Amino acid sequence: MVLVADDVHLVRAAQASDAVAFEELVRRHELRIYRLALRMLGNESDAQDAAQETFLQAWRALASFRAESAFSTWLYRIATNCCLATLSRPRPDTDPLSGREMDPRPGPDSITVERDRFRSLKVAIGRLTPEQRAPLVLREFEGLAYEEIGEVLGLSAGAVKGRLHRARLELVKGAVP
Amino acid sequence: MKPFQEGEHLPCGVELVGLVNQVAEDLRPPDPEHQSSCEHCRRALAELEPMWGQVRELARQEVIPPSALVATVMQAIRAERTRVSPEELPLREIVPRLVEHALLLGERGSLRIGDSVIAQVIVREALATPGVVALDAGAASPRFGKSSHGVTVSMRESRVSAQLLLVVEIGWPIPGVVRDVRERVGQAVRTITGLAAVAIDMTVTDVRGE
Repeated sequence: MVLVADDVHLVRAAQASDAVAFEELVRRHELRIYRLALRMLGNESDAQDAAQETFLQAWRALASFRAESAFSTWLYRIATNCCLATLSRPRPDTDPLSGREMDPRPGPDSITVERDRFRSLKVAIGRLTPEQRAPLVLREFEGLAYEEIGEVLGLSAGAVKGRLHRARLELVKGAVP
Repeated sequence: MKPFQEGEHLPCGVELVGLVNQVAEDLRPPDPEHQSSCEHCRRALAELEPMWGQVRELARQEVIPPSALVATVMQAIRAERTRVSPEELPLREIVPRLVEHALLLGERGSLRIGDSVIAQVIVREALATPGVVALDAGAASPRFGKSSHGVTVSMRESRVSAQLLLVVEIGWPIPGVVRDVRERVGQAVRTITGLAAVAIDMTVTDVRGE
């Protein structure tokens, strides 16, 4: 018989400062948190930063987690906030005051982008406002139910529905075939 | 061509958002008769379906988190712990109360894992580590729980502390062997029992050659 401790036990151990238990939680959730960040932010480097920040903040705030929602929902909430914070920060490359010019030569990233057949879809997702993008990503890419998205975003299920419908509409209107 | 930039209603009066949701949620049309006969609706659906197909395809696309993610997070956390309260490092956290089983509470009941189960897992892993000749069955440390075959296991709730008395083969670097044992034992206890091993203390009591 193989026994696997569920998140609740690991969280309890981690709350008692057990870093090994927390490491197991990070392993279990890294994929969904990184994927959320990748779809929200559109590039791997920002996604990695946001995912790391999410787990660090979760560790620091662990004592406040009361298991009223699933641990994954709580993490999604932190991760979404980290992504929204990243999106609200001015990007250094486009900051007119930094005086730095963007490198016009195509680097490895842009070569990958050229070959990406999802490119126009990703561009359209990137054009959504952060408030529209979050419910869209949580629904279409993470497969969350309206109620759970509501818990993540602190909105009623009805408000989630409204934002999600708006986001879908903007997405199809913005998608250039 | 940018098909849906005109407005939010089709010329037939149907709201575009309704059609988008119908496709996204795989819903049945609210007005099947109209949709099957309306040129505008059919044209819009014919554009929306492949578009949404791409969304679904992207959702199915495999995403691989960067390999260093877990390590980077844990490094930062351990650095933070050391800074904040060095006295709370797990290896110094000695179990105050001894129990003979670990108790896991689930929603549909509880599960107890006996300490002899954990001890067996630990013995097997330790002996399988290169450089370890034997566990020292002769010595026991009566301060901590039950000792059998050179391993002492103590548990509190879902945390395990283990003490091992090792005999290492001459010529093997002891710090490396000890590190390997700690890694293997910790991993095995975690995966086999689902418990999080907190502390694995080791004493090398002897070295042996051929």
